[in-house]
Amino acid sequence: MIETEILVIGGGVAGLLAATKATDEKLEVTVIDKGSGASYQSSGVIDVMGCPLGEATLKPIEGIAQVIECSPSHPYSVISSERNVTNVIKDAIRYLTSMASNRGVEFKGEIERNVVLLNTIGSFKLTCFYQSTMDRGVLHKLEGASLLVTGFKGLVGFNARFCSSSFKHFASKFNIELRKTSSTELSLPSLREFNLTIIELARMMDEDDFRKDLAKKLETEIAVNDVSHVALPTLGLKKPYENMRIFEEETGTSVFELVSPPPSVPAQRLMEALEEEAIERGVRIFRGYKAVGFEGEGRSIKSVTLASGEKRFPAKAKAYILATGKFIGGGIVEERDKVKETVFNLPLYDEKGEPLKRQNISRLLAKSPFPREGHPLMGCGVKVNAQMKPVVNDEVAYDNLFAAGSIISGYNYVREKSGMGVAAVTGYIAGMNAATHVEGG
Amino acid sequence: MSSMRRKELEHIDKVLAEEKIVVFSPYEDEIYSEIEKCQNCSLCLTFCPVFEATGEFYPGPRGIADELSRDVREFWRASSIVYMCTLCGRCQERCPVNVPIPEVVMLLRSKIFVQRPDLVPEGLKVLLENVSRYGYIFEPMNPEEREESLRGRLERIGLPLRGDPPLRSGLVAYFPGCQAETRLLEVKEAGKLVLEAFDVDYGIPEKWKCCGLPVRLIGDSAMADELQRSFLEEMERMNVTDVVVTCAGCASELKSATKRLGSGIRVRHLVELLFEEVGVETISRKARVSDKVKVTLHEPCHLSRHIGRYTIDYAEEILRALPNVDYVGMRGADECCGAGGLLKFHNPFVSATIRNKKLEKISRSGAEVVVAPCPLCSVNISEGAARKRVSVGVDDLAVFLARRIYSE
Repeated sequence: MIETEILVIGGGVAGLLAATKATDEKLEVTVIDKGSGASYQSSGVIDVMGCPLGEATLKPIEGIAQVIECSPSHPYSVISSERNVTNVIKDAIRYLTSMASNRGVEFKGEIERNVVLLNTIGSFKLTCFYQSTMDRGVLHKLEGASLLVTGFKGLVGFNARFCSSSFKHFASKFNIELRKTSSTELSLPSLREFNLTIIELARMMDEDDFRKDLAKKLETEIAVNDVSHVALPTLGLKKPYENMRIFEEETGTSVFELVSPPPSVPAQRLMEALEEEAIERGVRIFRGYKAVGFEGEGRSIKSVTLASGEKRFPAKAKAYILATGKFIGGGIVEERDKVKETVFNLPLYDEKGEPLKRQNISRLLAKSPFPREGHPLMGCGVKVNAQMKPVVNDEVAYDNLFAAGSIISGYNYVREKSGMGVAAVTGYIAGMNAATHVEGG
Repeated sequence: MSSMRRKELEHIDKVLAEEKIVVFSPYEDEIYSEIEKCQNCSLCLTFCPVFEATGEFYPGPRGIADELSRDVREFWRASSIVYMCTLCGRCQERCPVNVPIPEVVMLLRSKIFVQRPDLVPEGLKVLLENVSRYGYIFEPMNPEEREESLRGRLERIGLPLRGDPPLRSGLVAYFPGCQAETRLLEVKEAGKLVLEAFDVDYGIPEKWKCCGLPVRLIGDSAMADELQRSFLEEMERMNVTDVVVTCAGCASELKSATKRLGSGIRVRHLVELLFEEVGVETISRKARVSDKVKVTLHEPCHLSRHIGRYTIDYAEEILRALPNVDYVGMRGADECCGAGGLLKFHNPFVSATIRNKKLEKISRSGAEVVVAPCPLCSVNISEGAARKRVSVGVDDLAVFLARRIYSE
């Protein structure tokens, strides 16, 4: 029933980027999205390369070079056989951040270096590009700062007192001296004092009255504590910059937002911005459909089968982009203890680019829950060539099929801190190549 | 089963009853295990219309998991959450572990109804009485008043009044639903005219009653089961294989009833029947050329998420096929209008807040008319538009179609 020129399966960062990039070529692009995948569960910052080969680095470009040298099946290595990988990552991220910026979500950072950001669980996160609400809190800018970590009574998953002492410890590890760290736990009359989530708090921040009350509270706290920087778990969903400006003006300090694990408000801001921008540029998004199979003829995909309620029907396109993600997105599922790709039933490969022989979940998990080398399970996926076409035994599987994002094997974003960087660059390339494929007939 | 074992079980049941311990059925246990998958990520809150309207006072779907995690036997602690739910289903769609939240809400409502009836909102109990007394969820008008009202309504939109063709053996049964029978009367007439225009051999069941959805929403699943069982049995007796419905809620509920009761009867919403049996070409050919109008579609939750998004595509294609209809998309078309889950009938304030947000989205679409393939949504949106002085026409899809298809 759906007929389009390019069909993108998956509406995460990779899928939306691919779709928008292809739309730039004046093609008709349709995204089908079953709901929300891993992008919504991300931290809303763009990691490019944080821990190549298991060692943290502050220099992503060097990290990428290391990866290209040592692991030939990594998507960055695969891309590097045809393009200058640093340049194309730069282009892809510039494209991603400009999409976000058009909808009011601003990014800062540069590919030359990783920054250390403090997070709501009291540790730090290494990343490359971050939303500008976090800018004042970049660790190397905090030298000599007197930091007040602001908690809220009843806020789940955030302990300001713990964070404040822990931040001091982590800062010293990076040779940054925080002059003083202190914490406070606010309770505001309009705020429930138990089981409050960060999403609820963010929503409250967007309300003028609440914001005013909070600014006043902060002012009092600051007067007692002698503070130069204020860290908040969130700055709001819709008006974070306005909130930041108001808090800064009222308190005369630098205010910033901490990175948080899911539920992450910055991630929701980013995803909403990307969706809005994609639609604005002409991408059609069909939500609530799930790709469950396909019709192929030789080396060409004829249609993808979509499920909606009890109905199954085909979606026809000239090119298809598989951006269904891994386990969170549903691109790979576990079925009777075996893992499989859900739409095209493509064979899966492991992180080293070898066909996944033993597909038993239990064999793809390391024994300890947080192993240094990561779980092999998170490195598996489909294998692609430099055009982002899935390959089987080194041959292109289908001429009109491309893949993007974490459905691709050869890297372990959990261990490596490269998730959104790979999503962006593979989405960008897949979008371009799919467009070229369609235009070339 | 040996008599020893039976005695043993009887004894266990007796002790449990004495101790006031509630035993779960396998289905209940399955649903509870589903909600145990909740990771507490709170993504559901971002997509919850009630949360958007009320802010942090409503803990949302996540709150249900939270309450049940304390002690599942005290499921009634979630009553304020589940009765405020509009059952729109956006949370389930967005849930990374796909917890069937609407199903959980329905189950909890039915358990609360039986074990803690004091927690069922009073506004809903009245509706339940209506069903027992009249068979409809709303109190019907007296026949003279109804006819007068109907004539006035039809005159205004230029449609004729026909009698109800009785359902004969083997025909398509047209199920108008309570809203069209007792409130938005013209929808029932429009539905009839549309079916007639496309030569569908149909009849209206003689003694049809509420589809059971509102009853189930209140929590009385026994009564809902009974309503549905007797309706489907009656249809089977009449050799009916096809039921067509103009209301999104009735359509989705009757559809799931056929599945639950293993009935072979095919229940379809009007848009499904038109798209699948009549086809857009025929609709396009039959339609009169009327004044140019910019139209957008409101997507009822019971069509888009409960039945499936394909129904929305059908509705869209049908609208696009009409001459001089300029179809425009709407951001947030699939968001609840505020009437879902019977929220409107016990918390009109929150319901209206959701509705106002919907009206903003409708205005932003730039459409002159918003069409909803559901009389409940239509009434709710047009009420809101009138009260908020939003200058947009609101039409049920059946009415919108009939006015463009009917000719004398």
